[in-house]
Amino acid sequence: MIDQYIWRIIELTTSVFEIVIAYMFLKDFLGKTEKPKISKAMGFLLFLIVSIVSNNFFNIDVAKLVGFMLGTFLLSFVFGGDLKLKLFSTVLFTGFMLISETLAFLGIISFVNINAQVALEDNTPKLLGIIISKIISLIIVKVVCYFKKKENVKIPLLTWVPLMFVPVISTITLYVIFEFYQITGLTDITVISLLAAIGLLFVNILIFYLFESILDKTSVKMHNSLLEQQIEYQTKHFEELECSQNETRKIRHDMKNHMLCLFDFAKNKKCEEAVNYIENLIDSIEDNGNKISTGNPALDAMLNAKIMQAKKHNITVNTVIEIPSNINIQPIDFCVILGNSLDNAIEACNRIEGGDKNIDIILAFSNDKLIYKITNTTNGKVKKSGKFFITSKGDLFNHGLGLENIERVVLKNNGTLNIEHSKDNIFELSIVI
Amino acid sequence: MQKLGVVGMRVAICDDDNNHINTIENYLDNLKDIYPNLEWDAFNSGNEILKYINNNNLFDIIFLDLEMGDLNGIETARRIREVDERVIIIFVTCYKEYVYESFEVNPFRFLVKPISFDEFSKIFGLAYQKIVKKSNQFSFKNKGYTVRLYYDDIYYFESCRRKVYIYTKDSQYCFYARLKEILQELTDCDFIMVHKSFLINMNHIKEISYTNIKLQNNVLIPISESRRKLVYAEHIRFMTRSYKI
Repeated sequence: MIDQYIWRIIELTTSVFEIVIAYMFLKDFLGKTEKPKISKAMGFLLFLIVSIVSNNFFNIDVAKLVGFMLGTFLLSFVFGGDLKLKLFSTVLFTGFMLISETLAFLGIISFVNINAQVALEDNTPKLLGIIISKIISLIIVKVVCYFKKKENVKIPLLTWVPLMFVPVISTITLYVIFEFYQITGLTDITVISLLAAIGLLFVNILIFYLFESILDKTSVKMHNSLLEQQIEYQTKHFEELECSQNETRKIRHDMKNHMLCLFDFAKNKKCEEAVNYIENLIDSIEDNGNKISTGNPALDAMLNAKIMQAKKHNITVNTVIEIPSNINIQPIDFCVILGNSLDNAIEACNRIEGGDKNIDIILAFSNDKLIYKITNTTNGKVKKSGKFFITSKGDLFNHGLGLENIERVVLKNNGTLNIEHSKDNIFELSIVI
Repeated sequence: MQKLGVVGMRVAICDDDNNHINTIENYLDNLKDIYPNLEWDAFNSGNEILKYINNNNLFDIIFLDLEMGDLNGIETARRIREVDERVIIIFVTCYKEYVYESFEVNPFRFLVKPISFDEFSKIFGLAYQKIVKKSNQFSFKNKGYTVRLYYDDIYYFESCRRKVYIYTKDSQYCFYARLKEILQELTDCDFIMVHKSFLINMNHIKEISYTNIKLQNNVLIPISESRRKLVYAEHIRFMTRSYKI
């Protein structure tokens, strides 16, 4: 009787310990979010409830496994990452946990020389098994988390399939091994079984390593395409600058001739001709009037390119720009913020039918901080998904990314961001960096 | 000493180009009907205006040419800031590119020549609003005396049980009140409740981070989790307030 109660307590403690390890793993794997403390407590509690239910109301091992996976998955919602990432971390973690249990189980059977039945039912080996397996899982989690360095960027759907298969199949294989030992009751552990378990551990760690490499490759690809885009804009900007510089060069060159001409007009008191001549000259010099020029080349290039694009679509653009040259922000970060926000604004305006198409841009500088505010008219239909707005186009992957990229860059620069969508169809994005 | 504020708006124009001074004076003339008691003085060089200001004459708004011969605009502004941290400085320039140093003196806005009347009156209006807000006063009773502080001088309010502590740059006061009542009195006045015990003046924010705000006197004020998004939104609204399209 007492025995039963003690076991219940041990099982409960074990569950709590498992949840703590899960929490440690998910925190480092998925990254923190701004969720309030309440949701963390809820996640913990849900996992605990699921564990207790699956441990006590179902007597088959599969149920316990499923319960554990469900609990981990629910806990993962306390942290960041999209659905696929949460699923991946769940199966990977479950795989690691099962590997630890199997290793402990096999280790005990071989070193204490008892059969599986005894190992699973006798109190002492059972307790020893639990302790060893939790220690092993803690070590695995600590090692994996230590090496988790890359930021979780979005990777293509197809890449997820092989990544997920390995932990899932490992879990199934280990489960089969467990059942095998239970059914046959062998004590003679072949080195092969132990090697198999260690092999699966190794394979799953490899999958983790591959996952990190894929993250790295994807973020390098993204970074490169942004750089390419930036080069394109700056090249265009440079060409335009060259063009206008040539104009000015020509004018300077012709200065003497112009002077002679004007001298002639003045001598002969031909006032009107002189005035017209001068007007034309001024016109040809001041062609640069509307171009943005802040002294920040990447910013200027991007702004001018996007503003020209907007004007081509008949969108009126108003700007107030008062910022210093050489701001302490990486040019590529400018590209991400301005490029994405302006693209979104232009697309939103293009979806307006029969209304005002307007974009207002404010770039200011105060207290050592850059202030960026872009306001655009919309057609009223902007969907929200959690924190971010879903594009009304179907392709969530490529287009919903815009705002996510902006947030990432803002966070990287220790800035703040705010988005507002008012009832009179106006969308407003503000950033302080 | 000349009193600042709505009673008598004192404007200064400093430019070595007299044509430009005339343009601005004409614009101000046109605005006389809208803004009560508008007065202005013109100066031709940085040294001239500095001499005047150092003789205890203060202005509310100064239109300062960036490209002056003798003492350039930035250096003039620096020396003005040494005696007057609060005056609104509007830089007037021929160029669209600005150096970092010109922002160190905390200018309100930049105006690019040639300036249209529309632009001028728009920016003048924004400057006027800012001055009106700054010159309001908060009063409370402390040990029997009524104390009056300019809103602009107050850094933050902190409540502790039933007392409220007011912190200015160098000193602090305390009186009995509830923060909620103070917040009501200060609606639309650049003050924001970042925490249930802290009400701060956004004009004195130096840095804003995820979990707290650093004020200009390096005091750290915590932001409560539930108010975070609101604080960011309000702060950004405050920062962009001086820039209207």
